[in-house]
Amino acid sequence: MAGLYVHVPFCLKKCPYCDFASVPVQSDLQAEWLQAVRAETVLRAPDWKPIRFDTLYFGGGTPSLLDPADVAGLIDLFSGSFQWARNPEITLEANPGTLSGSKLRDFRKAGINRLSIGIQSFRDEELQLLGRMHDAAEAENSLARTFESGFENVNADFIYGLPGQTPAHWSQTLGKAVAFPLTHISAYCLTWSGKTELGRKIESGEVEKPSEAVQSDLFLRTSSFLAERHFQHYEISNFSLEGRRCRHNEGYWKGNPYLGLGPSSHSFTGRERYWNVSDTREYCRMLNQGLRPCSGSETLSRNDIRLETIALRLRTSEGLPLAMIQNKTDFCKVFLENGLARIRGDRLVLTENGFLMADELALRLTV
Amino acid sequence: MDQKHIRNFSIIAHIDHGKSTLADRLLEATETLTPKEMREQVLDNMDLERERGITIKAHAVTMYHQAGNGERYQFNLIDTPGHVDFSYEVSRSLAACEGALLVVDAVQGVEAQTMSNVYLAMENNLVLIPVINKIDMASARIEEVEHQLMELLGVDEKDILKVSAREGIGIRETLEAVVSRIPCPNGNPDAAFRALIFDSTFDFYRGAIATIRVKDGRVKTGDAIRFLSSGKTFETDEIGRLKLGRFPVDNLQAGEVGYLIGGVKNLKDIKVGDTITLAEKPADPLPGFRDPKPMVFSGVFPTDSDDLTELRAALERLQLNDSALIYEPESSAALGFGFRVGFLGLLHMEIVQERLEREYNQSLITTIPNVEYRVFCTDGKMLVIDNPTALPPVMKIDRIEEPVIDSQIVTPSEFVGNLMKLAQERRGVYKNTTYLDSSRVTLHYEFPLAEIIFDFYDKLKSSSRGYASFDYEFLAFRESDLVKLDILINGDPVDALSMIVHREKAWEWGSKLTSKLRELIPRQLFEVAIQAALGSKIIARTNVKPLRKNVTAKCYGGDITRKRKLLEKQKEGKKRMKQLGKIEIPQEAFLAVLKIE
Repeated sequence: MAGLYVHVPFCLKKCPYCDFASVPVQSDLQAEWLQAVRAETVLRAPDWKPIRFDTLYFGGGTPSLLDPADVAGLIDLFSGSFQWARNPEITLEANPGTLSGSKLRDFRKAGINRLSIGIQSFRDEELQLLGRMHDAAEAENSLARTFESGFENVNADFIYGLPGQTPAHWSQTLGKAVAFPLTHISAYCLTWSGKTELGRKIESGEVEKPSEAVQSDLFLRTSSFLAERHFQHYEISNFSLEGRRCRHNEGYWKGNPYLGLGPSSHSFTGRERYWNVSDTREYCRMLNQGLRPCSGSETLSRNDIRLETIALRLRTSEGLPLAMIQNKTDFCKVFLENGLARIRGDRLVLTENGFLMADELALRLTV
Repeated sequence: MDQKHIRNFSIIAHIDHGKSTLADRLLEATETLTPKEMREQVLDNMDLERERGITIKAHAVTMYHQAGNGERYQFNLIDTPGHVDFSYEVSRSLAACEGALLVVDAVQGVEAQTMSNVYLAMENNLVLIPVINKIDMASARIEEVEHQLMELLGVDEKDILKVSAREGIGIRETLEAVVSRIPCPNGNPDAAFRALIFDSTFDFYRGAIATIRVKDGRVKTGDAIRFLSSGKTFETDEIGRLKLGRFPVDNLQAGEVGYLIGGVKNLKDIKVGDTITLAEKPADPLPGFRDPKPMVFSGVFPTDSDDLTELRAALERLQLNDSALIYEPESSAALGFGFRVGFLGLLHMEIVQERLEREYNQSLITTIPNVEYRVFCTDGKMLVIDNPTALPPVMKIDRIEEPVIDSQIVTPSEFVGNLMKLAQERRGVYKNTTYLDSSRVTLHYEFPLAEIIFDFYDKLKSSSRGYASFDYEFLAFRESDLVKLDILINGDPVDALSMIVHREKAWEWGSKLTSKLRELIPRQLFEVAIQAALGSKIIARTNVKPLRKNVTAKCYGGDITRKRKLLEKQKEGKKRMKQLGKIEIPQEAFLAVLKIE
């Protein structure tokens, strides 16, 4: 099974913590982009013809800025260009301010069956710090409209571990989240790079630097709070009700193939990975000339695949087959002794404390 | 060439006073090298020498000078290392000469090495020609330096040459002074052949090559020769003169300098300071031969224990080029198998380390350097110890003696207070003060050698804004109240971190060392306790807190390649860590003491 990803690079404005490829929305560029994605689909289709897809994911950027009719058109094109399994998961990322009731209904009609909404927080001052366009009230209203319009499989994205955020603040946001019938919650601990506006503020001391201790504490609180409400912690930043995991993202962690369309998107065939140019105009220009918009590729060696498998599987509640790390029993013992991992069947599975150290542990298992 | 037309001389100078530049000018002026061969400081041909601006190994070069009196002279310039670590090589080089140019920087004036070089030259009965160099510099203090030299050497102002090697000023005068003031050799050309070996090098095709000064008689190709210290005989394959390369000649005779190749496979057979004679006509040895004696010892271990064989091979090959280097196998509970290596001094140690890493591509862990101790046991035995772990239990020790050096610090008088304070901190014993002139002072001190092998030079410089200089020689072994300081990591002693210190300094070292290690040991998956102990008594303790969080929040399609590349990069860093039980310790930690403030 494979996943199809479409990168929608448009946003109303750039958020100060975001380092994804995105540009302010412009209607002419949007039209060009749509043409280019259609052209890329045609260009890539022959190579991907033998592969069966079971998920489609519109990510961004802000895909909910798209006209639902265009989304419908793309879904039609994809369904004719590739082979599909029954009941594919079709997700669209959305931002609260862009979701009117009619638009939501039109997206549903277009075939979207899973919505992922960038709520981030239910506290106004945190939303302001994050530079979001919406406030807490709008976040709640948009969620309410989403469920009213008939969506059943809905994720909300949150960010925690913010400058100045206390456990009480975060509990308040989480409490409001679970008051909605969400099936999935993605909770990302804030990381920052000096390249983003928020990162610069943190590094210059303009806002308080979130401490490792507080971030760790919030991480543990999140999973225990959500576990009491029947959310399974199935990946470091992802929680879902039974049967409601994000199948598309699980594909990445299992090493399944994926095809990425749109600027800056990545594709993986199982051996080869390639990625598109990230500049939207350049992407459109290349496709306009009938060129593949590729900006780089790599062929993975067996060892590369081993490294990725270890790093990715350790991040999930499925864990890592012990057979893959037979020569690392000394390290495993240290993990077990220090409560960072446990053995379940023939797999090594990280504990909550182990999840917090996943990068460090992966390093030890791959050296 | 008859001896009347030969001049053998050295250039001696404090570091950076312009010795190599002056040598370059002499080579140019005598047209010894073609312009193409002429690079700056041509005599320094090791990369490391060029980078550090110091001459590590002695070199010799023959040139011809058409003098003002119309006659042609053979000059043999014998280059000497400037650093105290190599003073034995300096003294051997000087023994091959009749005179020396004493170069003093017109800005810096007389320094500690200038003085110790003067003393060495005097011991060898050399005629000294004082040269003030860098007279073109705006800050040159020619008159003051003249006075210093007049005071130091008892010479007249008119005997002092004023030169700028950089600008080529005074070069002709220097060449003429060599002719007129340095005596010609006075060996007996008809006596049995005797030559002094003052340098040796190793060539992979030709074997060990001796650089020699013929004292008496002559040697020619095919002669059977004998090395007096070992009694071994070899047949001479080739003899010749040295310029930038080797130029074979039929024979070398009394007074001349050149090289000798005799199918000697092992550099150890060619000992600097040894005497060569003809096999059938052995003569008395020339005075002064001794093996260079290592003063500083340190453990050298491969980072990856699988690389032991490679490290051994690298040391063997390095030793072919550096006969002062000695080593023997060592095993450490913490670091596995490696070698205990003896060095002439700390600079020599750094150079060996760098050459092993650069030229032989070794990844090394070097342990805390120490001096050699004499341990007198209660049962009457005396042990010589160059490794703290070899120290017997306290109750079996009657007393311990450590090496003490005799030293001189030359400094502008305004820094005397700072330097005396530093000397006191380093257990220095004040002897006396002498004045070079109204503003420059020589302080004589005795120090335990152990106190100067760490950061003494740096401290000396920072206490004197860079102006003080220092030189020393071994004096004697003296009794001292010494103890072994152990470092325990999570309760286990790490032998490679043990050191021998003076009892009064143990507490200070213990706390400094543990806090330095806390900085250097990265946080692990669990808490790490670092303790310092004297015997069973813990005298300092600190902890490295465990790692709490290291995780990427988002890992989707586009993040995976980046993640893998990061892992690969981090893996390289991990490989430079030494695994001690469950704890990972970076290589630098084993040299932590050197970085202590």
